Amino acid sequence: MSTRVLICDDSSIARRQLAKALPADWDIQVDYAANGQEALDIITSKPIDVLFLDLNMPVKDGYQTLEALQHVPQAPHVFVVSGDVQPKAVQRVKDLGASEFHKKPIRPEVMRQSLLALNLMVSDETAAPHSIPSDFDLDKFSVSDCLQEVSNVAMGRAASVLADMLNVFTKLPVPSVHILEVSELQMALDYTNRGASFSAVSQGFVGAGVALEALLIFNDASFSDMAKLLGASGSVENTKEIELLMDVASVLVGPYMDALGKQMDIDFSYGHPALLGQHVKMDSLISAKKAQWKRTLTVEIVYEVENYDICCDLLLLFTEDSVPVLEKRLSYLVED
Amino acid sequence: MQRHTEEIMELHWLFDMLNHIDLGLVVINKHYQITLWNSFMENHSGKSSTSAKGQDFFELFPSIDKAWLKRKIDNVFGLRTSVFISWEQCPHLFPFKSYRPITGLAEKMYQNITLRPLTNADGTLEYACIAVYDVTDVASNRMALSSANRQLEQLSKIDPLTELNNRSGLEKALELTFNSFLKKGTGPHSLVMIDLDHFKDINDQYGHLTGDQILKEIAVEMIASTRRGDFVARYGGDEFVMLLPNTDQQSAKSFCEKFREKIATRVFKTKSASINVTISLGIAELNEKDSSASAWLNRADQALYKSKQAGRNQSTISA
Repeated sequence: MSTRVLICDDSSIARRQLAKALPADWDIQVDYAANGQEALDIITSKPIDVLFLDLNMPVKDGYQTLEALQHVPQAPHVFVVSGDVQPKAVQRVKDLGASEFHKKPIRPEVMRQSLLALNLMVSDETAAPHSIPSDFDLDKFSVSDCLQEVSNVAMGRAASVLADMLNVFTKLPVPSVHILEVSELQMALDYTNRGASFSAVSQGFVGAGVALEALLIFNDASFSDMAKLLGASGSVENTKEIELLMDVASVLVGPYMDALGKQMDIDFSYGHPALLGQHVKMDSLISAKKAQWKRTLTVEIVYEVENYDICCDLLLLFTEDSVPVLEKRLSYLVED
Repeated sequence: MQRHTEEIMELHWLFDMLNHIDLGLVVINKHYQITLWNSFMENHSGKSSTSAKGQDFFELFPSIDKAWLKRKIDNVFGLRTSVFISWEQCPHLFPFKSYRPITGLAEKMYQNITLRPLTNADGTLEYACIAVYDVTDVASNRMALSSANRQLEQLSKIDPLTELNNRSGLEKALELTFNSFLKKGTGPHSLVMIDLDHFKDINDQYGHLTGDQILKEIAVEMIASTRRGDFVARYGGDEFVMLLPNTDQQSAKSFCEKFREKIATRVFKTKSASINVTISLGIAELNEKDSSASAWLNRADQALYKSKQAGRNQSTISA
């Protein structure tokens, strides 16, 4: 009898990538779910042997799903496949009963090895070809979807570096990707924090026809906890604040861009991070008048550090002329 | 053979450029020992490449905060990621002179620093690179700009004739005092509004230049008579305001009377004539009933009006 497999990830690109990594000589039936709730609904309606589970998802995330599975009789073996590779994330899912943890994107030979090691598959050369996700429509795929998935992986790497340095756990959101007018960008940023003051660092990256600015924006309220975290003693005076900004920018932006560049096969050149402003209103950070471009492809990631009042916004602003290059570079994600 | 020679030439050129590029390059190992050092570093530090090689980085630069930089270098090795230090957080990590110590704006070189892991081909990491960028021009321009902005901001709060604070400076000071009274319970604070008696007649009779001279001299007298921490402003025309923190209305009144007599007995010697001037004053101590800083100011103004009504050359406490 075929093994029953369920792939659960909010990104259809990730679902497809995972399906492609399944060994061809594995006799299976595949189902798909876009979040933890959908996965649980399927698992309670029919038996599933192996579940491939993402962690950061809307509706019900991977942790909640694992928790719920503890009360399900004959729950499937769970392979967590996640971009979030913080040691604490790995520990948490293991504690919640996951059999394996793999970082995204999982390589076919790694998947095969670990399935064999767990006795979950027997090689069967006569196995029928697997079904491709039914909701998959190649034409509908945009550069935004691809960028979201590579960002997901990259931000997990960055959070892991932060975790190594500071021994903290960062709550990872689903990155949001938009094409925005500059004026809209201001509004989007300003929306939740009207009147608050911010400090920001910007670093430019250029390579293979892609140009972007990585903007790290801190709510000024974060400083006192950031100082606590980085072991700075005494009051947080001005130079110490710049120090904190630079340190956090180094560890968040660098590894993120490194992971992003690897996935797109671009070795970026980069400038020194520049202090954009301290304790200023959002509209003076990004001035619509100053900007040369009109439209920008934007990836926004909100990092929140667990148990600390620290929240920062990482914005990647791609120039409009980078979009066709990105499309080309990211097409491997959706091609057969 | 030909190709081989070309490759060696290219390598030689590349090395020559790296050595003479206007950028400091240092390679250190995990024990903070210097392994490589380009010309920029030789020339600016005065230490040759051969003598620097194998030396402890921190022994060579004792002025560098060792614990601080060590933590950053350890992060480069531990996290395998670049770490950046900007001139705004540490202007002169290396004690180097600027290229233009005479005509430039800065004596020392401002530096941006990049600490980068140098991964070996097999993925191991034993060395890190320190890149030193000279950003003296950017830094001096930026600092000149912000100092000019500070001066402008200062100027916008000053009355050009008397060089006292102007009305907008006063409003800020009043607001601060009012808030500290309200939130921190400081006090008592008094406010004095002063107006010259029949100043219009002086202007009409002797001309505006004479009038201006009298305003200037009264301003100087006000500064000389008040304490440090008192705030003196020209409110407009011939009206002045003195903010006396930590002073109740009775002390304010006795101070005002002394000042009034000083002005009344003084003879202002101008080019056109020797002139006598008197002033009227209104005093208000801040209390809980004042709903705002301007309500407080308004009470001082009303007290001043009473002094005028009662015959001028006197001071009145607000009811």
